[in-house]
Amino acid sequence: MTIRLPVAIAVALLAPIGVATLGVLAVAAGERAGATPFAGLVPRNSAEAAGLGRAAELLRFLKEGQDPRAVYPVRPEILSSAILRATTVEAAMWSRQVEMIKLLERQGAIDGSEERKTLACLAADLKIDDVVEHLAPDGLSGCEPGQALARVTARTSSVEYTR
Amino acid sequence: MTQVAAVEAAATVDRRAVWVSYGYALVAGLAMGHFLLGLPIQLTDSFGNMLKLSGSWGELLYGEFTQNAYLRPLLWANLKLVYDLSGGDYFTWFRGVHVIQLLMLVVLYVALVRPRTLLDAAVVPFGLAVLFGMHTFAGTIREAFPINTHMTILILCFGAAIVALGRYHWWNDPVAMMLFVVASLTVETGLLIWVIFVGAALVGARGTSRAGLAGLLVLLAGYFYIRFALFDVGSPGLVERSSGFGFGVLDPDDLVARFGDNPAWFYLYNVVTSALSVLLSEPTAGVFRVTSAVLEGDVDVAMMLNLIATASVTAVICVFAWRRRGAWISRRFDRDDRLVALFVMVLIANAVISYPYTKDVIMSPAGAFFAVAGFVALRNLLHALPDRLAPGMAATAVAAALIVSGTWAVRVIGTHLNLRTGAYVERNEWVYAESSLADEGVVLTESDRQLMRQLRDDAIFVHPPPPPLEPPLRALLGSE
Repeated sequence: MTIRLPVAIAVALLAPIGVATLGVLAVAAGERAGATPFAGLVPRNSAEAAGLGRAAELLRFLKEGQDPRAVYPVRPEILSSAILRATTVEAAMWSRQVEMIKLLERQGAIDGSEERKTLACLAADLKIDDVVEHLAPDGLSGCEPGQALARVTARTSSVEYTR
Repeated sequence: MTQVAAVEAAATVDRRAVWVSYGYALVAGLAMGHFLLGLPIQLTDSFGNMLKLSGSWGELLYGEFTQNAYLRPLLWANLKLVYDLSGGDYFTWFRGVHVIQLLMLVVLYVALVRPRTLLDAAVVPFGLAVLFGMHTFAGTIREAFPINTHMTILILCFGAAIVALGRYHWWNDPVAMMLFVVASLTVETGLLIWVIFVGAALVGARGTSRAGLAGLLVLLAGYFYIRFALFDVGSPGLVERSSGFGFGVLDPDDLVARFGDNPAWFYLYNVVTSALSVLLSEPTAGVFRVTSAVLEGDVDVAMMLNLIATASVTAVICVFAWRRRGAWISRRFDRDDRLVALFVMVLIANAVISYPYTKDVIMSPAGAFFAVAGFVALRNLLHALPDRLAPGMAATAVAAALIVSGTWAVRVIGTHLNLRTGAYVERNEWVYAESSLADEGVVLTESDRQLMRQLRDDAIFVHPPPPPLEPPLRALLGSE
């Protein structure tokens, strides 16, 4: 049996677009059914949302009652393979968005000058100048370079890591 | 058409092809509708408009007839109607209207191109891919104000073409006039309705009578009288907004400095580049991005795919025109000829309307008719092909079809991915709404603030963000 040329060309025109449409349809149907096909990283807690810079999801987790100062597990691909536990505010540093820090501040996640200082030191270790400027507008003092970051990293290997 | 010819034409239509085509169009439309529902009502472009809608009908319409530069009262009437009908459930109504509009568009597309055989039906997905994948289409789905006006115009344009190319009924004339009034008072590209009816008549379509066409001419004159003499609305000047030029975008101040004395050359540039952007996807929004990338040796694959995709459809349309030149010269037009001729007329008129500034979405009617003409040209080419060719030539033809179809498949996936990226971007804007409005010095009343909180909560909590998509080859597929 031989295939007519117009039919062969029609099939060639149909095939890639048909596959693309099926793919889009599968994603749409999957999502309607509650699955997340082809989804990138979907944050599982407020720390992961903050680390990924997903402000809307962060707010949703906080509204659901998650504590921005509690330590949460964070998957290695989100912050660093060396940092698997962090508070939401700490994780937010890795988003490198000063807006995210301000948002958490408005949510009452940063409490008191000592905490601001600690976070400013962490921002300095990560070289996020606008966050440093925001958290320590009068300049940094008392930061040991690398210490704040080391404290967060140490938590990963620590047995006790909750609040 | 004589009765015998009508019966013959009907007899050659394979009903399976018709059902399959409409079915596919609806499924593709529903899949995109799912992605449209992922978008929240926007902070930018929508929140400010919705604040304006809380006023009375009288104030709203009076204000729109008497403002400067734009005459779009029915755009606002449309928004106000849905706003009032929603009873406060804004997300469901405004996003729902967008999905319904999309479904109407795909149904009208199939009605316009009329697939008659299973071979035609096999080309429908390609035609819809061109419709969805054109860069001019992106603005009709990615944004809303909170109804997308440009999508409204696409629907009215396809509706007008169906009436203009169809059989004459007494009601066609009033329908034509109503379509023109609604479209032209919605946004300036609505004037294309006039071009469609008159253009169709020029190539022998008899959907509207001479009296109907005369009525449309009177309405067009009335439009210009209202716009320029009665309300002195005028037209947008150089200071209205930024516009692409050459390899970059010029701000209004730059535009005035460069073309203030004689803007004619700038307007001509806009007209020519607007038309080229539909035929080649280069330039886009007045900026020669691919050319610039080539000159700098920084071309990426996605850019080239866009160029290949659009240029190949243009080439197929040119082949169609060349093959039909004899019939056209002797003024023997069939429906497919008329559809291609309408594309050319809409393209030219749409480009002329775009003279003040270039923006991809303004060319969306021409882009939509490009998808119609592309389908028609391709269907004719398929039917004209011999059943057999030398194996080498046949393999080359099939490979070319696969490549072209592949480029459009990439563009369609990109359209969906960009909608999902948009869902993320728009929601993030809502997170920072209060602080960003305060930074801009916007003062809100208590009721304004209440509306803002409702829309923000809708965007973030009630309709939570769908997950971003990271399919294989993400960088190739999405441009945003």
